[in-house]
Amino acid sequence: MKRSNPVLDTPPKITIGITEACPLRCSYCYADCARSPKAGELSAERWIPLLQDLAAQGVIQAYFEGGEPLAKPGFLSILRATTPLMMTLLRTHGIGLTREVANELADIGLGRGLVDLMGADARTHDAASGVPGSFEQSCAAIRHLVAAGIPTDVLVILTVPTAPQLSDIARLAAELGAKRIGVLRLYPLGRARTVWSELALSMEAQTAALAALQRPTGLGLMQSWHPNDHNCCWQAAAINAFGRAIGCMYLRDYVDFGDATATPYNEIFRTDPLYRSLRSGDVEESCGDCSATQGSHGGCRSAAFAFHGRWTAPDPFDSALNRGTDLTLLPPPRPRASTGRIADGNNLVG
Amino acid sequence: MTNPRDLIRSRGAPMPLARPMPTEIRSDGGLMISLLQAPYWAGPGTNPVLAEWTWHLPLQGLIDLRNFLVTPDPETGIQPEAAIDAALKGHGIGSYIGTFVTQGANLSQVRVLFGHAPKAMTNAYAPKAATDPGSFNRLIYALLQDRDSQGSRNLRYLRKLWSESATRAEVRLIMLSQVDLAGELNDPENSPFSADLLSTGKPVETPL
Amino acid sequence: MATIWSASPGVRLRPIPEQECCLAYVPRPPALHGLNLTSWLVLSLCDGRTQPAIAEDYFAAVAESGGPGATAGALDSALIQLEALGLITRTVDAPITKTCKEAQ
Repeated sequence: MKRSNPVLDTPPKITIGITEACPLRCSYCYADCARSPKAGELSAERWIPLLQDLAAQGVIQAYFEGGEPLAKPGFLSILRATTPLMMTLLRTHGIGLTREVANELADIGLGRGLVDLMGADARTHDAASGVPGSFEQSCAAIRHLVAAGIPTDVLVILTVPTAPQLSDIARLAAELGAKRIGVLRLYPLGRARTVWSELALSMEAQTAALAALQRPTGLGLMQSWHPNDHNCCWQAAAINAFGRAIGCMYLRDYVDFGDATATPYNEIFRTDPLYRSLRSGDVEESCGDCSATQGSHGGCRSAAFAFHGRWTAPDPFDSALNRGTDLTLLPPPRPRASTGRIADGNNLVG
Repeated sequence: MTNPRDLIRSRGAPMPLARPMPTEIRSDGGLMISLLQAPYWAGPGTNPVLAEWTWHLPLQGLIDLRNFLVTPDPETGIQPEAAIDAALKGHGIGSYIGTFVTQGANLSQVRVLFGHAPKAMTNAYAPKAATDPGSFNRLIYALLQDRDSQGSRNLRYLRKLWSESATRAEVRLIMLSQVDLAGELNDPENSPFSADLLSTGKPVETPL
Repeated sequence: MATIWSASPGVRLRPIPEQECCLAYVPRPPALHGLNLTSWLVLSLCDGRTQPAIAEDYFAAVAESGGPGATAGALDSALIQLEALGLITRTVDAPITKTCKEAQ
């Protein structure tokens, strides 16, 4: 049955993977980050005109993530050039985010901060990050952002270690002044594939962890499991650290829609066949509750492709569409589709 | 066409809505653009009425009720009426037709109507849609227990207002000759809202 | 005295006609807002006009198609919402005094 997602002619918001450098060594890093920037990463001098051009093309919100954006040389200059043009969000581990840096971010006009916690205590968090003391720095960063007047959320990826600590992490987030907690799925990307069996939870365990989550009054919750599982591809736009258009950071291992520094993003958005297909909502199965609340069909395309090898497959993280898919089993690697070509399973087509 | 005048000329002018855009979930700060459109539900139509709740409110109560109906949920951004309709359809129960008022000088009568809408069922996975009073009751009871459903939460709020009114009345499509007045009205599976009102010994919450 | 409405300094708009809405960014303090068709229309009319002039233009725009927004209450509601979000600011037109007329 042909279904359709809402339609956008051009993307109003974009995610910028500003760098794949990071001072942490997270065991499940999707970008397989290293301490130093990777060869080919765009400089600040290239990002600034690119972002200005994106604004001219109609982008009005930019979400910066990495790696660790604050580790990017010239990042504050990038942000300062961007905030007059569009709403900005910064996802960070908070390493090096001192009170002074937080005040500078506020002065620059950062719209929102999002800080990752990988546990409710230093033992759990630092074991995941690989850097002792990182938990304290992340917590301090949240306090500094809040004190500087920047609305701040806490993000946590749902894994074997974090599942039993969700309520404690929510309580900690509230104590630190965060406005919301966002619980994210674990994706089989980057280094996460190497530790999948240690970290991945079954569908039942994920559902149970979310059901057991108790959050303090006033702390908002974001989560994209049933019945909030949306197919957000319809509005997705993203550029990685190398200037490649990839639609969404969760598609980083699977797609490359082209060079966003050479081709206007709107042109890529409108013309790349796979990109258009992913946004269309053409899926094999749709969950009634999720489509009713989210207005889109089929759930996450990255998760669907990762586990089923088909872009139109149902999202196995939706309990209504899981159909017995074992999320604890690492799915096989999938080929990366380049510009204009659609990868399906193990074959490149077109 | 990017001129709002042209769009209004072809679409009509909705009640104005300007609100902060909540950033969405996952990690990409998606925008809940769909919140700014008309609600999902179609309002009054030709669907036969399954149930009707009536009660009376003074003017301030009407104002509060209206504000509740039109204000998007701060977490989901979805208006209660749209959420209730989506939940009823998604669970194969029926549809939310709307909340209507007959204004009076002192008290105004409020009526909430629920409809039968088989073609609008969007549930792709529930065992079956409601086809008889028993399955209707069981499905709506299950919906009422869903703490995560905004539709459930909003429906319970309407029911709470109804239950607080001395002039409340409920109309449901159930043949009186088939009702066991002695027992079944106390059974939540046959009278799903009864657990809120009657002392059944079962713990039931009515959160907002 | 007439109220004059103008878009706040620095506000950037991002129309999304295919979704019948418009996004509006306010840089200070940073916020992103969403406007439906009616609010978008009202914001577009707040370009230094007086409120009576806005009303005249507004009703001319909504008269043909009607809808729940085609009322004075809707226009007032739109202005209140937009001002509360910092998207528009008001100034009150100074009365023309005899002194001012002589100076002209």
